This record gives sequence, C-alpha cells and structure tokens, in this order.
Amino acid sequence: MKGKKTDKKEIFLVEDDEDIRRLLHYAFEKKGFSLITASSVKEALHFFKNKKNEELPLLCIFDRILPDGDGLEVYHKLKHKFSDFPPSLFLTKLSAEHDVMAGLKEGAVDYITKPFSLTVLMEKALKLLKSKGK
Amino acid sequence: MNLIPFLRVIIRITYSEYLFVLVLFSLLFIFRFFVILNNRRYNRKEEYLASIFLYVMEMKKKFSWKSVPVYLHDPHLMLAVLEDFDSKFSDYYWDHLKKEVLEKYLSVYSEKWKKSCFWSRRSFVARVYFLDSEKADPLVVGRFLQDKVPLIRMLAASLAAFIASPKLLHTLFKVMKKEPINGRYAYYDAILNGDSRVFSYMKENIKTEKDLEIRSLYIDLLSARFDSSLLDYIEDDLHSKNINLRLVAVRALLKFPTKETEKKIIGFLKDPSAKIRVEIVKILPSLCGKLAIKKLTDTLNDEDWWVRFNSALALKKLGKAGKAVLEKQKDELTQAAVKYALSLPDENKKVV
Amino acid sequence: MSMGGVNCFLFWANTIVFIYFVLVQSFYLLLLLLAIPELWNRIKEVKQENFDRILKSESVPQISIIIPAHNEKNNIIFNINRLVHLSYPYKEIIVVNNGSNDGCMKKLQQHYNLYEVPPQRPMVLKTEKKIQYFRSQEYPNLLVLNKSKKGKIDAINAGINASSSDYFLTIDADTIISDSALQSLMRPFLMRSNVVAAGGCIGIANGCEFGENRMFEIKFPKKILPSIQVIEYLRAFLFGRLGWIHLGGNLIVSGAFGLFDKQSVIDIGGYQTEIGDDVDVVVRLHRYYREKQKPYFITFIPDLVALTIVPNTVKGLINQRARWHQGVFKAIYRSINMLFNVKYGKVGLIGMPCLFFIEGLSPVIELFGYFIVAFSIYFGLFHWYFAFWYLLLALGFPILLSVICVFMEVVSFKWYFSVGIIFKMLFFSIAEQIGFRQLMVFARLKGIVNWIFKKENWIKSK
Repeated sequence: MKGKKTDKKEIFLVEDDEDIRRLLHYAFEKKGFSLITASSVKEALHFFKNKKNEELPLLCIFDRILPDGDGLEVYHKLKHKFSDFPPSLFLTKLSAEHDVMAGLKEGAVDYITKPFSLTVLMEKALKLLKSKGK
Repeated sequence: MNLIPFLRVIIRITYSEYLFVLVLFSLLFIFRFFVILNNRRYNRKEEYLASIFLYVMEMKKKFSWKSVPVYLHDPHLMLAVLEDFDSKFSDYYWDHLKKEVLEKYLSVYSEKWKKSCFWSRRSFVARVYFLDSEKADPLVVGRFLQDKVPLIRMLAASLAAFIASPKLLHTLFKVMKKEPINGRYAYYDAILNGDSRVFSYMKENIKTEKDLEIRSLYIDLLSARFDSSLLDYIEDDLHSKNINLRLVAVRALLKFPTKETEKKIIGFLKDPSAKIRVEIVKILPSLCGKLAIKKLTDTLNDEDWWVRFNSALALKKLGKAGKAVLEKQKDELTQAAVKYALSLPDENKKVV
Repeated sequence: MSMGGVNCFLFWANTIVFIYFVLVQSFYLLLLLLAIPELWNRIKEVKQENFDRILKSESVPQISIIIPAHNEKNNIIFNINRLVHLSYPYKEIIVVNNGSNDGCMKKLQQHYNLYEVPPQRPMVLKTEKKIQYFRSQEYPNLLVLNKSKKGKIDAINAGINASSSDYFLTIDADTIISDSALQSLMRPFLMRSNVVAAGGCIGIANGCEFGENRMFEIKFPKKILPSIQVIEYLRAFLFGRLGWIHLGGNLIVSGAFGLFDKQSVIDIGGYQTEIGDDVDVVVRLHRYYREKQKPYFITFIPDLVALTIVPNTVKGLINQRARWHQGVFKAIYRSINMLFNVKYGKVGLIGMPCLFFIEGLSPVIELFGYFIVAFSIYFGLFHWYFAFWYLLLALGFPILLSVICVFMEVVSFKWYFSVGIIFKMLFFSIAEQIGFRQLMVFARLKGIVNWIFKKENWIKSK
C-alpha cells in the first residue's frame, strides 16, 4: 500500500491495475488529497482492520474484479463494520445491468464502468467531497 | 540365430535416441534463457510505453513522437498497450493520444497487412480498425466479415455495426444467419451497441425481407429498442408456420403490451407451441394483474409441464389471491409445480 | 522340447513384441506431429483473444456445474465458494450430496442458508427417486441435492435431471477449476456448430498453493509419485488428446473435467457405468452420432482448466489405475461393434482399435515380453548384451517422448518453468521408466483381471 498520511484528506482506492492507480494518485495529489491504495481484498480489509470511525478516509473507490475476490463484498463488509462509512463509488469493468444494480443497491453513490473518463470521475469525486464538507 | 546385424542396428538407433535426448535437453535451457530474456525485455518496453502514455494524460500535454524511443516502435507492442488503455480510459486526452498513434504509426501496418494471408496479421488490422472505427475501410471490413477465422468475423461485426452502410449490413446479416446459434452472441452485442442506422436499416428491410431466418433476426433485434411501430410489420409473422419466427414475433408483441394488443396476447394462450404459451403465462401477472388469475388457473392444467410450472410461479407472484388458488389445487398433474411455487419464500422477503 | 522349436518360438515371440513396440511408438510420433500445429495455433490465438468479450456479453449460454460429493465436509465449502465466484457470468452450481455421513449436509445448510424446495424438473434420466432439493437464500444459482449413496453416476444423472442449462460439466469435489476454464471450454461451442463435448488440460494439484477465491499458484509436487504423474499427465494431454482431434475425435474426455451438451448426454441415456464413466460416455456419444449419421464434434482445448489431486501412495495409485483400465475395457466391450467397423468412420477404424490395442493390450504385451525374457533365461538362450541394448532402445523412446513433452510445455504453457523444476522433470522422465512403468503394468493387469471377474469395488484413492 502506498500513500502519505500527512493530513486527514485521505481517499481510499482498491484497484489491482497499476496504471489506474498511478493516474488517480497523480490526479488526486494535484487537487490536494492523498490517495491510499490497496490492490487486493486482503490488503483492503487489512487497512480498515484497526480504524476507528473518525479515522476513516473521506471517499472510497472500489474496483470489483480483484485477484482474490469481489470489491462488492469488501464494501458490504466494511459498511456493516462502520456505522458512518464514507461515500463510496465503484469503478469497474463489470458493466452488465445486474452488476450495476447490485452495486447501487448495496449503497454505492455511483457506479462507473470502464473505460472511464478521468475528468468525469474527478468531477464526481470532488463534488461528493464538497458536499461532505471537504 | 544370428543376431549381430540386428544388434548393430539397435545400437545405432539407441545411440541416436539418447543423443537426441541430450540435444533437446540443452536446447531446452537455451530456449528457456531466451524466453525469459525476451519476456523481460517485452515487459520493460510495455511499462515504459505505458508510463509515456500516462505522463501525457497526467500532464494533459500533447503527445509527441520524440518522447518515444526507437526501440519501442513495435506495432504489436503498441497495439497491445493501446487496447489495454482503451479498455480502461475514455478521456479526451486519451482519445487524442490514441488517434495520433493510430494514424501516424499503426495505420501504416494495417494498410500493409489488410490483404495478408496470415490470419494473425488480418486480426491485427481488425483490432486496429476497432480502436478507431471511423477510419476503418468498409471494403476491408466487408471482406473480414466473411473471413474463415471466427475471431476476425466477430471483430468485423462490431465494425460493420458502427459503419452501418447498407452494403455492409446486408453482408452482416447474411453472415450472422450462417453462424451457429451460440456463436451469434458477438453479433447481437455488436448490433445492440452499434449505430442507430442499423436499426433504421432493419426497419426498412423488414417490410420486404422474405428470408424467414433473417426476418426473425430483425424482429428479435428491433424489439430490443422500444418502438411499437414494429408491430405493424409482423402481423404475418405472428401466425407463421415456422415456430422460431412465430416465437420471436410473439416475444416482440409482448414487449409492447397495450389495451389493444391485450386480447391478441391472451389469444396466444391457445397456441400449439408450448414455448409460446410459456411466454404468455410469464407476462400475464404484469399484463392484467389479478384478472389473470382465472386464466392461470386454466393453464395450471396445461399438457406441458413447463407451462404448468410457470403458471404456478406466476400465481405465486399475484399475492394472497394467487396463493389461495394454488393451495386449492388437488389435481395430481399440477402437484409438482404447485408445491414448488408454494415452497419459495415470498417476494419481499427474498434476499438476493 | 527341441532347441530348434524353442529358438523358433523365441524368434517369433520377439518379433511380435518388437513390431508391436515399433507400431505403438510410431503412432505416438504421429500423434505428436498432429499435435504441434494445433498447439502452435492455439498459442497464437491466445495472444489475440479477448476473453472480456465473452465475460461482458449477455447472450452466452448458461452452464451447470455438477458436483457429486460424498463425505467431503472439509473441502466442500471452499470449493463451492470458488465456483460461485468464477467470472463466467451465467452458471448454475448443483451439489449432489451422495449419502455423506460426516455432517456435510448440515454444514452446507448452515453456511448457505438453505431452504427446501420440491423437484422443479421432470426426471428424464432414471435415478433414485428419493431426492431432496434445497436452494440458498444468498446464492440463487446454487442448488443442493440430498440423496442416499447409490454410486457416483446416479448422483451425476440426478444432477443432470435437475439442471436448467443446455450445457453441464461435472467435477469431483476435490478438483479445482481455474478461473478461465468455463470461458475456454465454452469457446469451441461458440465457434462452431454441433460441438457435443469439449475437454481441457488437467494439471496436478499436489504441491500447488491455493489462495482465496480465484487464485492459485502452480507448483511442482514434493513427493515422488505425484511428480512422475506430472510427466504422465503432460504426455497424455499435450499430445495424446491434441493429436486425436484430427484422427476422428477424442475417446477420452477425462472424467475429471469436460463440458458436455446436456441433450446429447440425455439422448444416450446418461452416465451408465460406475467404473470408467468418462470413457464410456464419450465412446457412446461417438456411437450414437455415427449411428444416427448426425454431424457432431468432440474436441479438446490445450488450456489448463483444472487441477486435480493425484494419489501419492503406491496402493492408492494402483487402485486408481486398475479402476481406469477396467473402465477402458468395459467401455470397449460395451461398444465392441464399433471395432473396425467402417460404419463408424475414423472412430471405428482408428480410434477404437487404438484404444484397444495400444491402451488396452499394452500391459499384456509387456507382460508377455517379460515372460519371454524369463523363458529365454530358463533355456539359456538369453543374450545379455543384446538384451541390454534392446532394453535401452525400448526405454529410450518413451524417455524421448517425455523430454519432447517437457520441451513443448516449457515453450507453450510455462506452468513449470524454473531451472530446478525442469531438471526435476527431466530426471523423472527417466525415473518413470524404471519402476513406475512396471507398477503401471501391474496395475493395469489388475484392472483387466478385475474386469474379467467383474469386480466392482470403487475404492476412493486419496
């Protein structure tokens, strides 16, 4: 996992693709946020293992197809563990209707399918963060 | 028995056998060494190229060929990385970058290889066209549609659905008809994601098309996009003797249920084919609500078990009234279906 | 007995064995030559293939995965979880609890929140009537059947009855499917019409590491017996199966793993023999379609689709191989009218005879060879020098074939790639001929004897 924990403007990303991680890392850094990444279900759950409600990141982005499981299940587990889980969106290749509905029904704020536009993603993310009070 | 001449032959053959084993042995390690070296080199090239592209996207700069060293000028590598990125990003900057690489570099190869007798080269051309469908040559696409390699045909199908010229579409449907039923999935996906001109083409041609199989393809695809004017053209198909065509036509009818078509739809409950009766049974709850209960009570005693089964499921969906009907059934014929439907958890309690 | 007579006998006996040996080995060479272009084509295809298209499509057919399970309490949850998370979009998983008495059913009930349902589909194949059906609240595509123990094939037939897909594959509870298996196996069905069955490469699970859900890492087994079997399996799949595609189609779609068209299997009456069920079904499929003169195609894809655990004890191995060989004979005997029958085309003229003479009779001929040795030693006619070279020749060819196989594997699949493992594989190619091969002869003879005396003990070898 990479990421600096300097201030509390943290964004969490679970994504196994290196190129996407790098691109989002750069994009969020430019806007003043720090991006913490995990590349598997195990790593993601490990990151949240000892966190308390106040220490949670501001926004979470989940990929679904991970080497050791489905991002949807990670989100499901985390949502039930923390009472005030930050808004989350999915960023994934699985674009069939039932997949999108599964993600939205689970409670995700948005479900973005790949190929995605970085500009649009950033716009959506920043709007979410603004509405939460940055 | 004089075995000496046999012995000589045997010894010679044995020597050559083991010699061959030794040669293969050493070749194996030499080969392995080269494979690892090649892989490493390829991976490094791939990473470097990917980071050049990412840099352009991050900096929102214009792509310059000067940033790409000569040793990365490999068409297969470029195409692989382009496809990988294209499946992930759909930015304005990415599009620019993609078009630049395609026009200035990959199109040279696709021009050279479009008539190649090696299928992997033809496949390369098809993939290049797929990345920038506007620049695809319709003549080449038409040829690829009839290629003997299925992979190329499927890529060409998506291209044909995008370019959507009448000539290409004619070939597309001709080829689609010849494909095995399971193999048509790529064509279905291509057309459903294709240009709206494909739908206009189908709408035009359904008036005059005589081939029954192609008619059923048209009807199936047209009914995927909501447009009830389709019903004007399928009157004859609804009563066709060809079961597949009739089935597709009835399915299209069911996509646009209205007060006017309701009677027609219910009429099909008496259709000789069980497949069609099942379709009607499935839609009855949403079509006429509680009024369907009487009709479903009749179909519970249908001669085909799948019709009976779906009738029971449909009755279950109709809440307490439907459940009451099911519980009243004592007939042996219907017992299996009724029991199954009653054992399912109620709709609102289901966890999916 | 006159020396002239003994000499004559020995001469003819030796010649027969020699000719048999030459024929068999040249046939293997032919299979190898036929396999190479298939493999080459496939490697090129893999580079160009985009499996995502199949994964994203909403129009690919559904597959039922049938798992007969008997006392599999330890593996079953892990395996079902893996299957449920396979990336192929449309699948139905049917677990048939085959009279387990280790609490397997209770575990399933708890873990998956099962509720009972009555039978949904009519029984097309004849099986035991008392079957309970359960569905899961959380996984709507999981179906669990509970029945008393009546043999594995009864369980598979019950699974086929309950399946709602057009295609099914059956796996053992201890076979691990790779993630791309369903897409790979489905490809032949999507690319051409009339495909009736497709088999894939099976690897050896002993020694491999398994992570959560989809991941596994292929590692070379640690013990001797499984290691030798790695070479055997490579040989069998890499050119055995691949080569047969052009010779009329495979006669063995390894029972551990194959995707079948459901209606075809129902048409031939489902699985019928407990022992050698896989060979029998495929042979009968060939027979059925050739008799009806309907077009059909049984194929094999050289992708790794599953890993299975092989026996690592001598006793277990002998029992397994005896069972397999008994199955081969059973299958041949049941369809004996196909042998050399022109009506059955390539299968009757090439496939069946090879199955019988090369697969079936090889242990007999080898035993005969050992007998000749003993015979000639007894009569003092044994030429040690001659025999030594003859032996080297006879062993050398299979070693050569195995080395070619290792070469092909390193070139194409690269499952076992490190230097240490390659050395091990080459070592075991040689070691296989000294001891293991003889063990196989013994096991297969046992199988033939069992078949003759109709012993049907199905002992599970672990």
